[in-house]
Amino acid sequence: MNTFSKGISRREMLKLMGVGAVGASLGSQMAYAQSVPDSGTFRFQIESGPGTDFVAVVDAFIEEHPEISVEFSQVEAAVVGVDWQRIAMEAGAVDLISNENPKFLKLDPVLKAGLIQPLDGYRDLYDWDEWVLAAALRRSSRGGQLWTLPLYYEICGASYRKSVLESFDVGEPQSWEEFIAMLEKFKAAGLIPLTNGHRGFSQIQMIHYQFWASIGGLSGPGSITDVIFGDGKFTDTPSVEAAQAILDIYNAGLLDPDVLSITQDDGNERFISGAAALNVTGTWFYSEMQRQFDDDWDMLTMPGPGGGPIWCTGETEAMVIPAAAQDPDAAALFLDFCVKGTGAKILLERGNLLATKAFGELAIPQIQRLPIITGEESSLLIFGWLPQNSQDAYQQGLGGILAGSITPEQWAQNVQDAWERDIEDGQIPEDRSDLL
Amino acid sequence: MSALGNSLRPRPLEAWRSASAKAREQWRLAAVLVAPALVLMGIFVFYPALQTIGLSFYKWDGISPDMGDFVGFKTFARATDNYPFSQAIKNSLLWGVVGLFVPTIIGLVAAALVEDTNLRPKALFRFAFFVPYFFSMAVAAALFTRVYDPSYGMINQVIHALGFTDIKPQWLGDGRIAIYAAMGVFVWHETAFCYIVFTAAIQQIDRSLYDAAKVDGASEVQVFRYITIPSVRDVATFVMTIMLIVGLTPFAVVFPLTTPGLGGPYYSTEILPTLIFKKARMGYNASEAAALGVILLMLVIGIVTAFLWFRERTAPKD
Repeated sequence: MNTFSKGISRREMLKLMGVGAVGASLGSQMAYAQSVPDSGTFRFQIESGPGTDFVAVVDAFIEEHPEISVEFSQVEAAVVGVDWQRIAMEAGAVDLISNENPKFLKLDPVLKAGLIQPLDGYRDLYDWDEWVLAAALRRSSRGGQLWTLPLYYEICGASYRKSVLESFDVGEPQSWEEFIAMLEKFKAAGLIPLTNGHRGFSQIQMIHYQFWASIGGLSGPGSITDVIFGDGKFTDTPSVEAAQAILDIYNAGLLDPDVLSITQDDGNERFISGAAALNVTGTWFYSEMQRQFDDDWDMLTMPGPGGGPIWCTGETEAMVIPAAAQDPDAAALFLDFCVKGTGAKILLERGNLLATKAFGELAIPQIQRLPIITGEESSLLIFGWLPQNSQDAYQQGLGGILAGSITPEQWAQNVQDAWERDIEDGQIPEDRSDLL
Repeated sequence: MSALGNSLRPRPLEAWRSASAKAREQWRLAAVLVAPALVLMGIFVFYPALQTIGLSFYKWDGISPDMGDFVGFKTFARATDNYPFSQAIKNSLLWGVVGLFVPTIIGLVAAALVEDTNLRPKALFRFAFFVPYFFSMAVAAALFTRVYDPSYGMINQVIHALGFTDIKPQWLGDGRIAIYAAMGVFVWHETAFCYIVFTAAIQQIDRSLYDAAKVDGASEVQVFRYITIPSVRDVATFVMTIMLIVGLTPFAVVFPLTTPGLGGPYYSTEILPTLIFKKARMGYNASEAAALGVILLMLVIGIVTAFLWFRERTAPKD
């Protein structure tokens, strides 16, 4: 039931107030009333890849909550365009939508445009602080209010087959020297030591995250955190050294020579076919590996020169309730179902790494060992924290280093320039310390 | 009375009125016929174009409810003062030149070879040359991502089969050749269009000209040079204008080949449309995207106008 509703719905009240469909900056000016609904309908959209998991989740929700109707649709982002979420929100077509991640590239623009409403009332109502990881809630907040709820975490690393590592008598490398020695063994055996599909989505950046995290550490000067949320610069030594390390393994023939020409899917194919020993990927590839190799697979994080292995993690599948939502209460009930209800269980059993502590014991072993579950600290997964200008300079530049177009130092300067320009343009909040 | 006298004699008022009424009638008819197109163009071309020009003078991210401040030409300065823009301009001009000449020349020569020689069966050749146009440009580009695969792609397999085992070009991964690989798709696709238009034009040429040339002992090359080319000049101007416009805006090729690392590797395939797409759709720089759109519009209008002026100026006087 809506606490506003004594003969008038919130939607009607907003109309009467002349607020219109999109309540620009409404969230900060007016408290939304939140309650557990006893009936309702919500319209839910999510991208088709992970959306596959949500078919089962939606079915289970309807079974448990027959009083709530769900109009669920999956979207093929490659077809409808990268900004489909914004368009759906602007059109008032959804009550719940996955806005990809809670980072500068995705959350801040829709927040600035007043397209979403705060979730603090639901956070209290459903006691999400007890269930959702504190870092996920912190990163999803701006100005002291919670604006999105990430359901998943994503982690990047290098996937491998356990049997392959055993056959070479190597374990997960704990240092740069061990890592290089392992790659050399693969190369000597005629395997592609480390494959990576850079064309298209620029996956070299994932190698860079891992090397940088390893060299720069979890926090302090030169760390990824220091650059994204503090006063650090992309030109700081760890970032440049990490870029140089990628060039070094490429020149030594330890990185797939086709890296600049192939896509992530091509890299996956090479790994699955056995042509490549390691494949740079992330948790989004887990279900495919489970399907292909049963239990004979896992993922490691690659140490950089002088550092140990440090995982890079990032919140994703960040759900938002648009300001123009017609039934936010029903949408929030579904969110809670995915945080601590059967929905969370279903998502977990399918190999997803959740941002909630619920049902952690049911996760597959490859998930159980990851820092989100173990509670170990991890570094940032940068993707999404960089707006378009910086992201373009970052992605294009890493490829440019391998192609010999620029040096690691020039790349770092280009990214730093683009980053400062994005700050100047208001694409990144000047004070980001509350996200630390 | 002499003819001169007739012409000098004042026209009767009725005749003048009649001619004037006829002219008005023709104007009315023209207006009725043109109005629907003008209205549609006004709504879907001129209004958005004017809106884009207006937007380019503001600082708007494309999502905020507030349009932002009027900043004049600052947006243009910001959008153009960077490496991706200079690459985009360079590549766009290169594409324009390639579009203007390469598919046009290949299409014309191929059409002349099939139509003006004893090549048989003609239907088969016509079909073969036109096949690429059965695919949309975007689909063709998507297909070529496989053809260009360095390890499993057709081109490198052929190179390998010919014994050049050490040569393995990274067609889309090497910034030095990626732009040419992308242009290859464009040329493959657009040559088919040029071919079919030139085929139709050559078929319209009076065959007696060819017969007379042969009687005079003209070679095939001379026939092509002195009969075919002058006869299809106007068609060539049309084809080259289209190719120039398409060549300056080959988004449908570059997007499937490089997305989502659009314009890569390292801006080597960057063109103005990809830059506009990135600013407007992958980021929130609507005003800069608008400024780049205005620049692209000016570029296309300027170059096409110059080209048409040149063609007009060099046209045979008769």
